[in-house]
Amino acid sequence: MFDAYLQGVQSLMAMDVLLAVAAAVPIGLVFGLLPGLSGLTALAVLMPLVYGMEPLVGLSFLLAAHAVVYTGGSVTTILLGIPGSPPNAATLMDGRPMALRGEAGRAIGAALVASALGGLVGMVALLALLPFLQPVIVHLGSPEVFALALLGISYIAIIGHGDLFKGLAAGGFGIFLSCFGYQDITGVPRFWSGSEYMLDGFRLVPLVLGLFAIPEIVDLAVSKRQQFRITPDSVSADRLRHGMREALIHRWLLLRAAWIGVLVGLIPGVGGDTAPFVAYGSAKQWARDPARFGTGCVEGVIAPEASNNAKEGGALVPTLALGLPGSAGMVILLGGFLLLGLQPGVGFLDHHTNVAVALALVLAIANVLAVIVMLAAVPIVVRLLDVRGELLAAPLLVLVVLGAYAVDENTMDLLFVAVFGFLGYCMKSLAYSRPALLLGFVLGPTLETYLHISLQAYGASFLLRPGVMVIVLLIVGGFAWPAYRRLRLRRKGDRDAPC
Amino acid sequence: MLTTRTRKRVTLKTVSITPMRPRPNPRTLLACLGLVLTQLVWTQASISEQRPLAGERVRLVVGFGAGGGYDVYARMLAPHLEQETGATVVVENWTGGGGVVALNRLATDDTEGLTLMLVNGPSAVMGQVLGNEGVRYDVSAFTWLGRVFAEPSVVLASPVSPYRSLADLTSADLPVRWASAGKTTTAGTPALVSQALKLRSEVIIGYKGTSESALAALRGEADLVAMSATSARAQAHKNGLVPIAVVSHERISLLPEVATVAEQINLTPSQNRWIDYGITVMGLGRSLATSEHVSPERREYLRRVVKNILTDTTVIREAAAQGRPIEFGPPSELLASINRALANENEPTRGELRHVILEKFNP
Repeated sequence: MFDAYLQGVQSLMAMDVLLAVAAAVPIGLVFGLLPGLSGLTALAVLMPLVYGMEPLVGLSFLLAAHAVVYTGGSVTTILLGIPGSPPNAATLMDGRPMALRGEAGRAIGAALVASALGGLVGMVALLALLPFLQPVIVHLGSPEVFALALLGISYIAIIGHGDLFKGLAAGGFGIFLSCFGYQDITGVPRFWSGSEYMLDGFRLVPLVLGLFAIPEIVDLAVSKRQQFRITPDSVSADRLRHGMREALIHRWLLLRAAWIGVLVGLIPGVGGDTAPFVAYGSAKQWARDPARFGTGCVEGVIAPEASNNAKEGGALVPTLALGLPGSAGMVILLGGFLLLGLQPGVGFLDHHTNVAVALALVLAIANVLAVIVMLAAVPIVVRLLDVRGELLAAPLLVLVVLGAYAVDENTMDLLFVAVFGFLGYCMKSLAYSRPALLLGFVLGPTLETYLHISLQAYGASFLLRPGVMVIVLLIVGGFAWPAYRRLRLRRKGDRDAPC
Repeated sequence: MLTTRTRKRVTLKTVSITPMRPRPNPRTLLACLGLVLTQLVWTQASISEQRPLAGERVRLVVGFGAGGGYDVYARMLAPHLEQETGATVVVENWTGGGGVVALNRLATDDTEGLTLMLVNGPSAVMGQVLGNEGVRYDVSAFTWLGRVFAEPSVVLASPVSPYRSLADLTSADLPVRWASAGKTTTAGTPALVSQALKLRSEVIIGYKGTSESALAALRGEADLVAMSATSARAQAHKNGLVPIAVVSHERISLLPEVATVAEQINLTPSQNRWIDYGITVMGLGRSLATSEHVSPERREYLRRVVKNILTDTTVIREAAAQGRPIEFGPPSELLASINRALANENEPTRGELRHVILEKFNP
């Protein structure tokens, strides 16, 4: 085994592999910076380029580009309030308020270091789990997927900043929106009204761009207030360094969030988009002062960003070990493996451990390189954005339209960007939580499908599986512990109060 | 003197030469020009007749997203189509409804064969037969150009289940559980096999694709899973799933040790028709089609082009190297299979199929 690890390191040191990684990182970052374009799009676009390459060179190129998309996306999210890719929406909740307070540099510094270290945790998880991959995956079944989705959905109440009712209402509405189109367990479309577009229900990218991008663009266009401007001064080297230090100070939070990312990525079916929300919810739940979340606290940036990059390491585990993609991006990456003549699966690690080790290291190198590139690029991006709000609105709208159209080249997506834009604007004005709606939308189908599968496969006894019981205990504990702590603090306060 | 002679000679020479050069006759010139032009036009017409799509923009449509299996196949075929036709071939992904949206659009396309589609044959036919919502096409009306590749389905058992043959299934005390992505995935093999063998089955639907269904079987969440022969071979080798039967008339080279359904169980004709139906539908495989609105000349031309490409040994070798096998099937064969699958003569009726695939084994 040690020899294989050594071989993996050696194969990575080849000049063509390193060049492929170096070329892929800026490409992935650009995909992340542009609103709406996700890692999935990056892989689909880059896939034809790797044909004919050496397997490790081609795979390193694809993986490096895919792994750093969220790093680029975090910068767009913080600076513009527009998620660079759907999972970056969780970073919005605290990243944007920080930027509006003049702390964009601090938020970006923290996000970049959290992304890099999250990616490193993903690599460590992948390397550590390599010898035990198959039993780990096989013991995590549909009931555990359902339980994890339940854990995610329980955070609707937490991420719905402020009013509990508004958070639940937004989350419930998100679940309702996810009910449109084909139902996985019957194959029958719901609420499709005879429209072919609605056979697949509402799409994620138009929803995210509409909910988050359009309200920001409208604000930029109609308001001349200085507060929407990000000045070069707010992302000075000092502020960036300050944010980077803070990510290291909150290292336990970062590690916890990264492991959540690994776990979500590890289980095929949960869907990687869930990870940052679960990490954010968990960070808020266990925080000493949860009320700070949503107002622009750095922990709310660190947690989702660390989990975003870590989940790719987790998702690689089932892809390599069983040939089962752990996320949507991994489906395309799996196609890349086949295109380059490699067939992941149980036997894969017996013969290609060096490739698996090399890919884990590619994840680490790409994530670190992405931070270096972004640190150099942030001042340039900010200078580009340092114009009056109303001047920025038009090019941003063009980018949003292009991002929405690029996914499926369907003009209906543009219509729904507008519809969800209106909804997002109303929700923002009335202080309803948009991330809670997104979380409900992402997790609704998973919850429904895997509850159905679990009941059919195991009956109600699925609730007694150890994995499910642990996750249910986490859910209950997650709600009970903060309540208990508040009660203790109140009692202590009562005792300490002067008579 | 000399000068005078010379002059004379020159004069004489001039006089003697002039009659040898015929004066350009305008009629002759016109005739020659006409001849050249006719030749040019004739040559051009002949080239156009041979390659009527040269210079045109041809769409090669897939009903699924970029990066998927169909997309990769289409992108592999596109350069060969370009070379053969002289057209610019662009692969387009018309996603939605699991391919239904693309098929609906192809049905109304009137670009005279400039839109081709790589169709998931079994899914297209099953959608129509089962009357799925959103289906507005008629597969028998499409102009079929040829089958790229087809393979039978294989039944695999979970390594932790007690089942190792079809006989084990028929004698099972408990209902057998199948994992599947959808009711019509692999042409509804779980339901068709269960009906043919009179099994007490439950088909668990909702897994995200064949890979996740295989994982469910691997964990013991389900006892059985059905998938195409290539995937079955990979799952057997990679993950230890146990292939127990090939749904085909004869054994296949990919899994030569696995017996067919008929080899293992003596089926009555009424049982056998369910297996036959499954074999017919799976035989449609990945096929190329264009709209029904295409002239007979263009149709024949496109069929020739597709046949030339899919029977070219270089193309076949190149495709095999990419893990995308090609096994050409003629349009006549495809049409016959489609008509058999749709007309239901001696086959299960549409009502029976709807009941068995959509209801009977889905609690």
